Amino acid sequence: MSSSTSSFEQAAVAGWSKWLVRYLVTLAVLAAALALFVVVMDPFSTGRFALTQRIDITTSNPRLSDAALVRDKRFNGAIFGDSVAIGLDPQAVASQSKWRLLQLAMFAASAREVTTVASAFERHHSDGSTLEIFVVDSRWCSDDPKAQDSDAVFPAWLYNSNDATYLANLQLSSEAVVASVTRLQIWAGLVQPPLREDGYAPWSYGHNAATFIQTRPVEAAAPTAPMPALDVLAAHISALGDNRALAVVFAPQHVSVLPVPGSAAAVRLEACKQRVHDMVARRPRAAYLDLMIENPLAQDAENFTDPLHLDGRGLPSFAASVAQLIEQSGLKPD
Amino acid sequence: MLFNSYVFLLGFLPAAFLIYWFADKSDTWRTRVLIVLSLIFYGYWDVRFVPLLIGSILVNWYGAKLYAASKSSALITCMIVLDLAVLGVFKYFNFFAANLHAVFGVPLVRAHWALPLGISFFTFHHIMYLVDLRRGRASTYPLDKYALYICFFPQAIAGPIARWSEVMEQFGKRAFQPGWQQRCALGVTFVVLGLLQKIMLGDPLARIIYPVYQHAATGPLPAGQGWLALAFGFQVLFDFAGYSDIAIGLGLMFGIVLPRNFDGPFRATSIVDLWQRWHMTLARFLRDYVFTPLSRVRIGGGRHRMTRALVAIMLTMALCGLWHGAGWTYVLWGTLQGVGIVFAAAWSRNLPSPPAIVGWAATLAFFLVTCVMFRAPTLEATLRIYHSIATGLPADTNGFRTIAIAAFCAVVLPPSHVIAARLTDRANYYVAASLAAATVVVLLEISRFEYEFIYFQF
Repeated sequence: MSSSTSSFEQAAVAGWSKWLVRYLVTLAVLAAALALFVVVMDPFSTGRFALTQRIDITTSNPRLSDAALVRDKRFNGAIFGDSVAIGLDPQAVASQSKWRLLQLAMFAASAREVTTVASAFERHHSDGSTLEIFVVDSRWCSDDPKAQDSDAVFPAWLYNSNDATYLANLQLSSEAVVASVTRLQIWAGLVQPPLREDGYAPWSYGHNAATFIQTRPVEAAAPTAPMPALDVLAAHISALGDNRALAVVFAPQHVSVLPVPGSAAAVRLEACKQRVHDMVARRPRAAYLDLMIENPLAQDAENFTDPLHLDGRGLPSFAASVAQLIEQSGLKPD
Repeated sequence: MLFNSYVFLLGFLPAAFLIYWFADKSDTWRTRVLIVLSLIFYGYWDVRFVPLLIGSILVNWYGAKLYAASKSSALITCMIVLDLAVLGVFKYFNFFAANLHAVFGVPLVRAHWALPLGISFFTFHHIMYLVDLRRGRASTYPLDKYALYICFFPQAIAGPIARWSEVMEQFGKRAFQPGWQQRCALGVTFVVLGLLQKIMLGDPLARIIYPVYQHAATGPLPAGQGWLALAFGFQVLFDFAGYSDIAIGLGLMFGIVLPRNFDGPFRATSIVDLWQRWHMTLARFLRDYVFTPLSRVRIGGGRHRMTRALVAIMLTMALCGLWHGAGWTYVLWGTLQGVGIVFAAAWSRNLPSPPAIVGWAATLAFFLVTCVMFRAPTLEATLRIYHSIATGLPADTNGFRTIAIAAFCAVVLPPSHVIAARLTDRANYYVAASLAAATVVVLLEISRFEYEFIYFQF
């Protein structure tokens, strides 16, 4: 009796040992297979360890898709910024010029993220002249030390990391798995890329009247207080070669968020704009445009999705203004 | 160190398990190694607070020894006051300073120190032990066992709030005795179920409701948008029940059975029932160490026993709210829970019970609605959300699929401890493989978002 009980217990122990081994082996095999699949698929078209060097846009998340777009040598210029720039149609901005522009703006992007993408674009276009268009807004004038960084998860490893960091991050990413499958589907003709080949997608947010209830800013830090986001932009611009053309544009914003004239906030914003202006004026082949002003565009809420973002009605006017700046400033490829 | 992080799941946990595997063979090193591992886990977050934790252990353990020698009840009182004072300084200083400033015009002084992780939880562990020591229910223990009771890494940061009597006798025993494999498999199952709750249910809900609360903090919400805010109740359930399951699973992997913390609270048919299923270890702490002493305070003679009990419930739940956060919205939330419990108790004494479905719907609605003030940063933001709910229905269905899935899991599926028991009633290899696949999914999902557990702030 006791020997049969003992053998039963031994069988149970062996069963649970096998259960644990099965769990660990399955975990290891699945993880290894997924890792290998993702690496060779190169889901974000970075060209590293890849089956092919072709460029496919596999995600509509600009933080990820920009890693592919910055490599595309069919384009010689790009629009950088946060959500205030993301609705700009690069074809409309390039207009009749010889520039072929990419849309590389990202939602809620920080200065550090914007310049990281811009630097990657420069690195992949080091053999020709390029045009960088930076669209900035009042967030870039903040004295908050965090203004240069962002709370969002930014995949810096996609842009300028070494291969080991790239591989480590790629293998622990669900977006990478999904994008790998999407890339297979694109190759098979089963799905279309989620963005146009220049990274643009039409602005699809309607007019949100409930958001136009803000009080115009009055208070702000002193005009001499730090502007950490502009420090990051200045460092990037000062490192650009002379064959790089540059445009910096203050985006239009609805009058309800523009500072009350004469207030501390207005003085601060003017100091910020002056600093950007001086930054640009020191460079050859550079242009500056301030659209963050009280004009008919800014006074009509119907041009905006919310006070910070132009919508489908206001965006063409914005694009036309930037196109005009490029043309009038004589910014042309070499 | 977050349970839902790579550094924990791929680094600390496998290393700690292997180290403990070897240490477990030694009677001398078994407990000590587990203490060191727990201190590493605790210190990874902010090493500055490790001395506070160690100091807290030493002072309370030595105080218990002195009490055993002197039987001085005042000594225990002093120790509890000291523990509460440390908690008060770190957690409530700014709250009290702001209120003194607002009411009496006392000059406003603000402290800028960080809140030590898990301070509320280890303070409660000390208090439970000290009170039971004075009541003659607990005895003194060697320093290593007491230290592990306070700092054991699966439960040190956010519970479950284990009684000393539940775990003390388990410490020091061999974890890897014959049959450990089944217990370990159950532990793995709990860990995976906990991670799934946190990462696949709680975190997606957090992403849906975050903009709503942000918006409410700055201005009025569009009509109907506030409905999304009600999903916070589901988020906090899966966040904290997920955390508790991971803690229980880790405890099992290291040979320690921790108490259950949730038992399908959103299947409750009354608010009293809900609080017997929600954060159960806190609820029983409050019952045994706050409510019971309060209800025995003699005011007004024996005729007012019922009144005393009702007042004690209200006070206990208000303190429960204050424990969750140093703010009046938390106190109001706790007080409302107390009102709900008193109402339900009065109903059950004087009126026939409603049909279970009515009780369930009313309980869930009450809890979800009151949870809004738990999450909203101010009372004003809370009222904006309520106004948005009262003035319309949602304009679109964005996010509602995720909320519907979470609601289904919370209301229809059995509690996770029942699921874990069913999955491991025999050594089914398909279950093992499925849990491994779920682990891979969780590891992939962690890469996208790594959120703290809500209860870390308490």
